[in-house]
Amino acid sequence: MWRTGIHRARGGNLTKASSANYRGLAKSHRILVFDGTQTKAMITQQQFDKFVRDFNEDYYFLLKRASQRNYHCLISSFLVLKDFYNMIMVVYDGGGYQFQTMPYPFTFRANDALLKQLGFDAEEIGNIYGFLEFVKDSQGVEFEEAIEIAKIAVCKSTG
Amino acid sequence: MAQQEIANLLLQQRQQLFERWLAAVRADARLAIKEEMSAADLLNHLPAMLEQICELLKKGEMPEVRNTHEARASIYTRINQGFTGRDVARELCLFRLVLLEALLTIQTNPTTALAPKDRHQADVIIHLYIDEAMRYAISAYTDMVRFRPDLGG
Repeated sequence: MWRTGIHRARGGNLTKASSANYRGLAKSHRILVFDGTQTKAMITQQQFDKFVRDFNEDYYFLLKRASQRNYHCLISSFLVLKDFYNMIMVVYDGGGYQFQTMPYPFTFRANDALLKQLGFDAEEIGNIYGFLEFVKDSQGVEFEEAIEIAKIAVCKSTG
Repeated sequence: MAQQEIANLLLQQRQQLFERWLAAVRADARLAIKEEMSAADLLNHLPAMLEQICELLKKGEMPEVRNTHEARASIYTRINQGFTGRDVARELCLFRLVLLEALLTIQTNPTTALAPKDRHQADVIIHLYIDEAMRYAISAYTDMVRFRPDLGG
C-alpha cells in the first residue's frame, strides 16, 4: 500500500545550527512515500533540481517563440507550463527542497529587467509584450485570465 | 463597501501610492539603495503586485502560493539587481504600510463609508500577500546566499 504525506520536523537542535543540520531539517520536510517496505522521498533533491532546470528551459523556449511572433498555440503551452511552475512552487513552499538555480518567475508582464537578463533585445521584448496584446485582442481577456479560461475548457473537455 | 470598490479606489490612486512608496524608500537611511537607481528600476514589479493584490480583493481570494506570481517575480528581479535580503524585506514592509495607510484614508473618508469588516478583510489580504512575498524571499535568499554571499547582508 502506498501512503504519502508531508512530514514536518520540529526544528531540531537549534544550538547546533550547522549547514548539516539545515540539510537534515530540509530533508524531513520532503514529501515522503511508503512503498510497502520503506519510506523514501517521493521527489529527490536531484529530481527537484531537474524540474527547475526543465521549467527554465521550457519557459525560455516559449518566450523565444513569442519574441519571434510565433504565437500559435502559445496560450495552451503556457497553461501547461503554469501548472508545472505551480507544482515546483508548492513543493518548494513545503520547505524540503532548495533552489540550486532560481526558477524564472512565471509572469513576464512589464518585466524588462527579466527579459533583458534573458538576452532579448528591444524588438524581441516588444514582440513578447505583443503576445499579451495578441491574447487580449483575440480572446478578449488578459493573458492571465485567458490561461484560467483555457484551464476550465481543458477540464470540461476531459471531463 | 465591497472589496471590489476598495480595489478600484486603490487602483485609482496607484500613482500617489507609488510616489509615497518611492519617497519612503529614498528617505529610509537603513536601506542600501543606490542613489542613481531610477524610479522605474526601484518600482520594479510594484505596479504588477498592486494589480495582483487588487485582483485578489475583487475575487475575495486569500493569497497563497498559486496566486502570488507577481510577488515572486519581484523577488527574482531584486535578487538579480543585487538587493540584499534585508532590503527586500524592508521595501516590502514599506509597501505594506503605504497600502494600509491608503485603506485608513478610505475608511475615514465620509464619502466611501468603509465598514470595519470590509476593512479587516482587505487588511488580511494585504498582509497575507506581503507575507507570501516575504516567505518566498527568505527561502530564496537562504538558498541563493550559498552561491552569492553578498546577498546575505
